[in-house]
Amino acid sequence: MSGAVKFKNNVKISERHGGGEWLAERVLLTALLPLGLWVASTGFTLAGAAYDAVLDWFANPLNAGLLAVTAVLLFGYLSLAWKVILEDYVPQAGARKALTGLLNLVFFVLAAASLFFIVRLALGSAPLPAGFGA
Amino acid sequence: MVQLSLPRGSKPTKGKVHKAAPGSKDVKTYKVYRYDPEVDADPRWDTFEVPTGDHGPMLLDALIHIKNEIDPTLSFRRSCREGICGSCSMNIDGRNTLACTKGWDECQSHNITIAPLPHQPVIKDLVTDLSLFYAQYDSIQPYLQSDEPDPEQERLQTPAEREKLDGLYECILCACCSTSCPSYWWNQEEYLGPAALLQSYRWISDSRDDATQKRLDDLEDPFKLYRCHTIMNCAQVCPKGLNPAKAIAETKKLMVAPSRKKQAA
Repeated sequence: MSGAVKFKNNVKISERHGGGEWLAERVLLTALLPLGLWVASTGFTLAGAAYDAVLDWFANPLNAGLLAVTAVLLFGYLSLAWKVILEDYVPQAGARKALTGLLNLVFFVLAAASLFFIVRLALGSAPLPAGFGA
Repeated sequence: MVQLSLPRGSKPTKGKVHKAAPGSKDVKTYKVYRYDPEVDADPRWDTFEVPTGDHGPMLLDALIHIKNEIDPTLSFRRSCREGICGSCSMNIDGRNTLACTKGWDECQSHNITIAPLPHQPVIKDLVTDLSLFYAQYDSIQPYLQSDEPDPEQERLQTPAEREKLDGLYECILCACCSTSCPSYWWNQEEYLGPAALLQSYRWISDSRDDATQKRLDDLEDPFKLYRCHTIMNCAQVCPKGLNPAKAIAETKKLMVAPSRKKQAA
């Protein structure tokens, strides 16, 4: 939402945007369909595999790259989709704006964390740097 | 916005029961929404038991019979009684439709519920205030806008160009589609609704109209157009068999078409 909503004869005046967001949602979802299937099938394949086998999988740049792309696209899509949900379900403009900002921050942090862990695993490191966690 | 329950003071209570004469045959029960905001604290459901032989085959015939013979205070709109004017749109058995084209024998149960169009201010009984609906229709400028000078005779179209208007121009503005749409229930202050958007696409599709880009510009908005989530209630209830959801989808496609971007630049 940008600025105060303006009306003429009780009908909203166009904000002159929305098409780009709509197209981005469709493009992201279309890309996520094959990527999601690939991630799911990989998950089944790697389930129960030894730690070294999983690290080998991550060491393949194609695997790590595709997984990173999937993570970025997924959180980008979630950001757009949640914006639409909040517009439908949160009537107060202020609360809607605050929640949208909060969720965008959450999705950004999750995307950044995903990339961080993917890169570390791809480089053969432990997921967390020494001194963090177990 | 989303409302998960009826606002306080708007839940219908049980109203009067008008029994059929003893010994009547083939009796149908009509449960009719009654509310006069100037007099009544709450709406109510009045029940009318009517022998089907006392009136014609349509729900509108039953309502006219009830008004003429049982309760003259019942208010509803009607005019053409043949599905052309769109006046008698209402919610019958939980589904928006025209009372004049809906046969009482099409309703499965013997208890037929008749209510006004959902989520519109009630003026009285089955009559709703459609001012915003008409303002939204007016806002899409539902008339030809051509850059060409007025011709001596009619503006010609090829049969193929004319065919593009089929399924669009037949809308009778009954508001069945818009008032069956949850997005419209929740955001009708900002969302134009299926009827206005169908009509907008009707002019966008018209080969004689030169205002396509302006029409698309006026629609491009997260709420005016993009509140349509393809729920498809509009297409399900349209008494003329039209598909506003498809028209909206086509508009969305045109909105991001490469040709539009070039023209905008």
